[in-house]
Amino acid sequence: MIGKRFLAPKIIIPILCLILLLFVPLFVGTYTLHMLILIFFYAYLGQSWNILGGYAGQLSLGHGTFFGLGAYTSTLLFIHTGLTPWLGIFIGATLASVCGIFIGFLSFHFGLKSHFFALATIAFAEIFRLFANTIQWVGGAQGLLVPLKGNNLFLFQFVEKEPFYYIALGMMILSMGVVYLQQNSRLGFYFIAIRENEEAAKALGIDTLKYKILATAISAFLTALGGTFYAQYVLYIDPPGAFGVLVSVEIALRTIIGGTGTIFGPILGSFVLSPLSEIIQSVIGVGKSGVYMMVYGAILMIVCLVMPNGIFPYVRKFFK
Amino acid sequence: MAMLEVHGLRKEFGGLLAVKNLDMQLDASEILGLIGPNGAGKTTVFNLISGFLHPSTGEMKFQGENLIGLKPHQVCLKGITRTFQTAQPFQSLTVLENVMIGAFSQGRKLSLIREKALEILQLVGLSEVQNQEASSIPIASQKRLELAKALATKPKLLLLDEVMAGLTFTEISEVLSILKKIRESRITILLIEHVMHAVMSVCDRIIVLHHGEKIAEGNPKQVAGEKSVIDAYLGEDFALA
Repeated sequence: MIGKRFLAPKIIIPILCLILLLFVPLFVGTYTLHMLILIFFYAYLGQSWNILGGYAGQLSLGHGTFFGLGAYTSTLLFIHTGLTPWLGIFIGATLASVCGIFIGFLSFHFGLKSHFFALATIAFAEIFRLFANTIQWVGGAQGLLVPLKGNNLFLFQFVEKEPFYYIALGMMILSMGVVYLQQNSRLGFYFIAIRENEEAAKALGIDTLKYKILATAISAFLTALGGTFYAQYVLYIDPPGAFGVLVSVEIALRTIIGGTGTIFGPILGSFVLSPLSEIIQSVIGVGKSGVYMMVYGAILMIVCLVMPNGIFPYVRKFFK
Repeated sequence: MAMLEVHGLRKEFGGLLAVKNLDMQLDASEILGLIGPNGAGKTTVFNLISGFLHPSTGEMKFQGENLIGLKPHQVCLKGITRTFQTAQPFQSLTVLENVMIGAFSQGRKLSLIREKALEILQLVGLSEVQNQEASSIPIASQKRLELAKALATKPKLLLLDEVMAGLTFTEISEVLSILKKIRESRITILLIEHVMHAVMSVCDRIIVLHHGEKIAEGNPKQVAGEKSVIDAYLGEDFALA
């Protein structure tokens, strides 16, 4: 919790890791690079979710709302006005934040907690998915293709994977920085206090409604940035791929498996889960419909049963 | 001027009248005991003052300012902090971090808040366990942690809900000496307590509640001698003692 615990090897190891990661693209093939981009990307999304779901303890299973708003906003602005996604990304994130404030206010003002809050967030994501599905102006069910203009840094478009690799790595580090800062500030203490005991937090002068909404807004903002990255990387978005329940679950899952409310949980979760789902898919094959999902699900259940607090607390104990 | 003024306070839960037209006054630096049998409405009075519940009717003023309609955190920021009957620690945080949460109402600077929290841990005698998880310390220490968290918010008025319940005789006398220290720093205390010898020794004044109604008020001696109080709460043994 307090910075001093991460002294010595705990500072040096991450720095070495970072240097290593910076040079990785020189040595690996496109597929591995793609794998790593996904790992960073999901670690980033997991970390964004972690602020609300992990630190502030409000279980959201509807982060697709914010992810999709980010992806759709920057893409629509790019298609219709030619605005560079570098600006669109922030407009999308701001919009997602405003939406987060709205959802947060509505849910928390009426006292929604734990699974009830989770249901509300799912409902909002579904509303957005259905809107995106039926409104032709935003692409309807076919979704949107991001027009490819070739290698163009200004337009956030690259033919090679390397630039995406570095952007994804940068985003992951950024999210860790944000979480580190909040962890070592009053804000983070208040988030944890609300998670641990909301009544006690109120009694000590914490405006729990305000801080829960704030956590939602920050989390939404960061998640939406990830949405734009996804759109630029894949160059195609559709309603289930942006607002769908699976998206929301994938965002939350990495952190829940890795360890909620910890800075390394989402990173660890993503390094374990993202390759796992890829490997299972390639070994079993996506073709035999559903089998891969069953195996994936079984592994998740085992992890949840054996390590209910996620993997990271065990790793931390091991190093102590 | 009275620090806390309560007039005609009334709280109904459906058909149940929990607090019935309570009048109460607290002067600065006073320790006022609130006693009475289980279900007398003592904790409800705390919930009303601290904003966790809203009264059906009545007036409450703190240093001349209206308290009605304020939310719990607003009441706390005005200078009234409560503790809970069953300790409510932030489980996964350390003892020190628990107290820091309270101290953050005084500012944002981490190092400063840490120092303030350490001072308070010293005062309540929890310095030795400061780095242990709050859930891992014994109940007696958790009760003191409740007190420490509340103190960290720099209250002018402290509402203590049974901070001595379930403690041993020695532990109680330790808490009593802490309370006396707190009073020296000019903090006013409203105390709910069942441990009678503690109440008698530390309180300046006592109010006795029974079925949500005030049945007696006065200094410990007067109250202990009153027949209605003996009948409703203390019993013959204590009166003779």
